[in-house]
Amino acid sequence: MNPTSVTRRAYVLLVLVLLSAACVLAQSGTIIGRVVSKSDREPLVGANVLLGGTLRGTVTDADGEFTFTGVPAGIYSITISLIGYERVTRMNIRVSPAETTNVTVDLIPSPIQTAPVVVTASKREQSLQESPVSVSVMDATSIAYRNSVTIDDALRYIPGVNITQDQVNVRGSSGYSRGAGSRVLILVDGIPFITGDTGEINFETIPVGQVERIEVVKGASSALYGSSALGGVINVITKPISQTPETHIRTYGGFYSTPSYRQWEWTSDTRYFDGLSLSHSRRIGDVGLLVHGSRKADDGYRQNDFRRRYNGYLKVKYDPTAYSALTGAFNILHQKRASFLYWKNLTEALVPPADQLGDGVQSTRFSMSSQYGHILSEKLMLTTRAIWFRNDWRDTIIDTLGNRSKSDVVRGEVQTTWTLDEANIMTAGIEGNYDRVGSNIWGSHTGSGMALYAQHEIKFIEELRLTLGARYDFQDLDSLSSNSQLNPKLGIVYTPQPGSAVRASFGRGFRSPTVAEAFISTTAGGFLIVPNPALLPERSYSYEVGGSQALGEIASLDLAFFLTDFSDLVETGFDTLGRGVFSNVTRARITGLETSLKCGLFDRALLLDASYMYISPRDRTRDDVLKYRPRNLFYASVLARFGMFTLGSDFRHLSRIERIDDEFVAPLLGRPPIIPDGDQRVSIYVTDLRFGADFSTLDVPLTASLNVNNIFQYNYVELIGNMAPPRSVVLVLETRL
Amino acid sequence: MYRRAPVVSSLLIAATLACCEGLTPPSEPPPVGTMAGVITYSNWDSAGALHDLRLVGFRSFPPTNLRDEVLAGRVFIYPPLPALTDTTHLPYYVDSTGYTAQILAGTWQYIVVAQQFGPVRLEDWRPVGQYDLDTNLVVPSPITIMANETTWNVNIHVDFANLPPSPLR
Repeated sequence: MNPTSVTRRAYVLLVLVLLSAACVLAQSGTIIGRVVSKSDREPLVGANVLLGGTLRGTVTDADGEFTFTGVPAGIYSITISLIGYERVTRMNIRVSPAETTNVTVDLIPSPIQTAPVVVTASKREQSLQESPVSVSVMDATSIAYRNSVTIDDALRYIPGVNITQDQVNVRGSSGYSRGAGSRVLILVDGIPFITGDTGEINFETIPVGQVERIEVVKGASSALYGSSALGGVINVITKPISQTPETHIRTYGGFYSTPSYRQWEWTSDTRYFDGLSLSHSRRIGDVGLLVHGSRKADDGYRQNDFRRRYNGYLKVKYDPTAYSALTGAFNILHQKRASFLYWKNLTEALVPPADQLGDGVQSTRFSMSSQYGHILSEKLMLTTRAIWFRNDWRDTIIDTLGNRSKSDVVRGEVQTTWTLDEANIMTAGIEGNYDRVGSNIWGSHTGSGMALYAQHEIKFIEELRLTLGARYDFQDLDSLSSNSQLNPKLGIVYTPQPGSAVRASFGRGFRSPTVAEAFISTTAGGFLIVPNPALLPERSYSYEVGGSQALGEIASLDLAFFLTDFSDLVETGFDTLGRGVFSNVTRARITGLETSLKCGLFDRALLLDASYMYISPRDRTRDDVLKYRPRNLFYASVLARFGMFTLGSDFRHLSRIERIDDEFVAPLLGRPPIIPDGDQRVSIYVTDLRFGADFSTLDVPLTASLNVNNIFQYNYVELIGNMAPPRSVVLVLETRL
Repeated sequence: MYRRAPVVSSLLIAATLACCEGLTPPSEPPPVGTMAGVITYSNWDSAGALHDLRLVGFRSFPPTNLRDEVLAGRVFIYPPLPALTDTTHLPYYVDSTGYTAQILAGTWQYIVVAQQFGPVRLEDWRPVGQYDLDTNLVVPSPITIMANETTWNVNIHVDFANLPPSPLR
């Protein structure tokens, strides 16, 4: 299979999606609306507006206004949602041919939003309270407020989630294993977004400035999403295209503080980081267009740790009718960065070993994706998704004379959502994928897979919903034995009254071995690492019971107990000849509880969020604690508004990781350890402080924020031998024109 | 004023929790001493059974097993191994050999000359001579290494025809 044929396959998939769009023209009218706050009649900016029974949606502009053109004559409903306000649905809005219907909607302020709409738990829109599994949501405001440069920065504040270096860990599922794929599946707009070679998540490839919200589904989810959804699913949902022309400019600049100790000062220069992003969106007739470009640079607080990033993103949406929509997206990232694997030692903690100076990685990644939705009838909706994702990188790691890899992943999916009646919703679909990898570390390999899934949601009575589903996957990766999987799920939700829900669920997950794990052949740290073509898929079974409860009108509480059993976990280790190898060795069980509290006081002038998770991560093979899993996670944030000003703070605590890779940190065979002082680690206490000003109240379209991250300069590692950033100060300026 | 109270108190709590500075650079490197002695040999084994020969020290006696002790970094090995594939070893077919080696300070319970007799690198090892002041060949003698000092006369006799009991599992 050569690159040309891969390209051709990708084009064929996209063309098929395009051809499936049927253009139905009908006599149509226009809806013009305005959304205001009921308390002070002020226009509300950024409210989501959905036209019921269609695929049309938009957000309100700076005057709180929205427009739907080309709406077929008929009677519609409009649903408006905005954080800080109750969700409202206006019924019986009549649209007549060639006429304009005007609508004004009042939103009632609400201190907390107990049930935002989510799309990931069931592959369709549903209220969070209807979900039988735990889902956390982070919106664009929270991402921008923290000046998250990449998605993984934002994920650090989601309950039950922690990041070890760049690997995401949902309820202790992942730990850390360099190059061993991800046990959490990441989606962008519902489409899997993991690399074809290492099966990892490239967070930096996702344009963080275009993110509308992030949904995190916790627990095994392979019954809907297939491989990698072992510990959960993260769905990054991009922003809709605005109805009116809008230009958005955002820039930031900052610096790292001097290290705490003289021994760690490796340079007399101040280390800076900065970024600039520009985006413009508008509609031209039935076509919406969004263009985005960004540049980010970071000198790095450590020696040999700089990075330069350039990102381009194009999104086009075509609405041929009110009942169909075709969205295409192109995303490209070029990155050049130095490679800091681990420190020289704790005395020189911000300096790499001498033989790693000059190491670096250069990568170009791009993706083309499309999504087509068509409401075939009042009860039946068709959605197709496709993506082509290329990951091309090469490094200059001196002792291996440069590794390089190029991988292509092509995926396609057709999904139907069938609302049989008010009590029954069926979701079913078929998926296919083709992967191709060429590399000097793991060779040239191809893989492919097919999957069928179905899910039935039954509402026995208004308060009781049952979800039943299963997915069959067949995966074939080169010379590995092909494997098939049947992954079921079962969930039940009881909502005795608005604001209260009790849920229970069971799900099964799996992760197929990646090309990197099965076929790697290289040396690292003086050790020979050999392939293991006998690798089996990892498996998990998740069980959860939980509930949520609104506490008056000012707070909501969520509590969940969970248990996940893992088997055949792939770990790095040594064979009897002393060679490094990936193998299926570990049976594990993680039990725990997670709770979160959201609170809004004084008309949302003061917001408080807190979450706590405790896990007991047991390695049942060794009767020991699982590696790289902190038992306790506690996150808290507070945000206070004073007129045009905001003052906020985030606090993160992760308990000390009990077990790490001893092989890398202990003196080995009479020589110094691979990572000197690598066993040095502490509990984590990090506090960030933010101060913001919104000048739009002075008719100046500008917001500014000053963030001080790690304000107390707490020194810690997330990963052995990798000191986390010291205090940094960053100024962010943002304008919408 | 009351509105600000939760913000201020939250910051105070965070500041209290984060008041310690976390990791700090070590003040002193781990203490190291020197061990020196002579190893004498008799009744050498056949060449086919000599895959490797090293002086090995264990912090505890009996050690759990060689593989775990090595991977946990609880052993001293001379000559040191820069990599598992290293072939440097104590000289074969000599009457005696002297050595001087850097070793972490503290007490070492079991100093032994170990022979790799088979091809499996981390499994096929056995002791062929141990540091034993009583020469009873049953319980080895511990030795305490002082930092920055040399401990002399850590002498070991190896008789391939009369091996000491092996505590290695």
